[in-house]
Amino acid sequence: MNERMYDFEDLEDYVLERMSEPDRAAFESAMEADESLRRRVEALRKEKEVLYYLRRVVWKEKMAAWRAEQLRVEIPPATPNRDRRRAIWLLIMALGAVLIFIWLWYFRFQGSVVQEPGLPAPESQAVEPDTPVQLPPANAELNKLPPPAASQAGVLPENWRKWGDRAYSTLLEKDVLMGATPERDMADSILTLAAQNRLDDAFRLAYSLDTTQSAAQLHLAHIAFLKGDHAAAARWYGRLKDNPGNARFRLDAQLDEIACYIYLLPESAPVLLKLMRPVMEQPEAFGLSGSRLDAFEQVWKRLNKIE
Amino acid sequence: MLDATLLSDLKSFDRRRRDAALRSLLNDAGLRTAVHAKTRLYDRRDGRYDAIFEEAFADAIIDFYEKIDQYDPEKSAIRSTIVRFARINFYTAYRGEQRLEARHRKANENAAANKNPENAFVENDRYVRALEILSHLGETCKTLLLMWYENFSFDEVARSLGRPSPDAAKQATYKCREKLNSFLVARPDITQNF
Repeated sequence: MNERMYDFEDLEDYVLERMSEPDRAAFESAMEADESLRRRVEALRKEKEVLYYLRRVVWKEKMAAWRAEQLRVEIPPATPNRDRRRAIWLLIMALGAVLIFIWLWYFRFQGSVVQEPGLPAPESQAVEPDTPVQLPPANAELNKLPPPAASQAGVLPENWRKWGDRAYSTLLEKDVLMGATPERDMADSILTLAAQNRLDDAFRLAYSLDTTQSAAQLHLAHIAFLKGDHAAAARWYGRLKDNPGNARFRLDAQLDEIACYIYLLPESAPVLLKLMRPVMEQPEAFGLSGSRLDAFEQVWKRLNKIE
Repeated sequence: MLDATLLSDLKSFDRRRRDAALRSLLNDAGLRTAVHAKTRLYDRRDGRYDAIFEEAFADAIIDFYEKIDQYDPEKSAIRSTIVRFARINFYTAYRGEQRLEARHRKANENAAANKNPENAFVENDRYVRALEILSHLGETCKTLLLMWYENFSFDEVARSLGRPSPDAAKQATYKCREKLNSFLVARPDITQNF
């Protein structure tokens, strides 16, 4: 049998074992003689395997096309859960950061949000801190005092400075802020500005009040003290002491005035001698005791020596 | 789409229904998310494993389709089965990729040390060979052969491809098979690794 007589169906019959035994033997002998027939049979045996792989390839190409089509349609593309969780966490963290910022901002400017009336027209002493405080003439003698001498601050014991720094905060304990709501708000604003070390603004705000009233005088005196302008502070304490409406804090004002003049030694020695005499004669009547009394006595002895 | 509907569509000999079912699985966002969750390496989201993921996912669907006669809906849901297949495919491909990278790295190192054209790394995989066969067969033969391979009736083949009768479809299929056979005989290198 010639190999040319075998067509594709014969090959398939042989591979699928559908040939009779004599035909099969003849086919196999033809295959031995004909290399190309043998290769055709081998290729046919591979056919299913090849088609299996071809089908996968075709499907994958088809699926890639479907997917590309789907991606064009999908807006936005599907996000995996993990990304979504990450986005939610980032959002929460951002919100937290904003809340913390707002919280800090609120406490930073808490004083500012309290009713703060329009500041008065620029006063020279308020706008320019270096300019000496200009006060209305109250006591000609005191106004003649020279400017404060910074070098003299050292003559005071350290606890005096602490006492001066604390003085303003004790206003609250002394119930000075009693009064109508607007007054209390104003006092709050001034205290807050002072606490923020915005002393010039605090001074301007206090100066916008009625300076014949004891509350305004107390504010101005303490702010001047905190600013280190002891001469101005002494003058405001003097006015407060002489204020007929200030029966309650007269003795405190007198002691504070003395303290300010102590900062201004030795130039303030004559005034100080005059002011301290009644105090040192009856210290207990002024509530003077402890370390403060000791400091006053030291100063008093020095003054008497100078004299 | 419900599992029962999917299953009947996939088992159907209506190509449109089957393709629609495969397509719905491929674009099922919930299924993709489940596969993402099982292939955490992919979650680095650097795009490096996008191709591997897509390939593994498509392979899993095809694997499922090929084994659909063995699938028992009582034992597991269709999507769970596909997720399991995809996970295996992904990590197999991932490890293969790692090995391939290592080989490339080594080849590059060797090439840098001793430049020799004979040392060049040549990859002629089955995919390339399959594309070669497909391009030789042409679109009509490709469709005919695959439908025959998938045991579609000649009546269905005739209707799908607009042949006048099932016999005409049968003759056309045989001619295509002969064409494929001739090509494989002429190119033994292609069949060697199949």
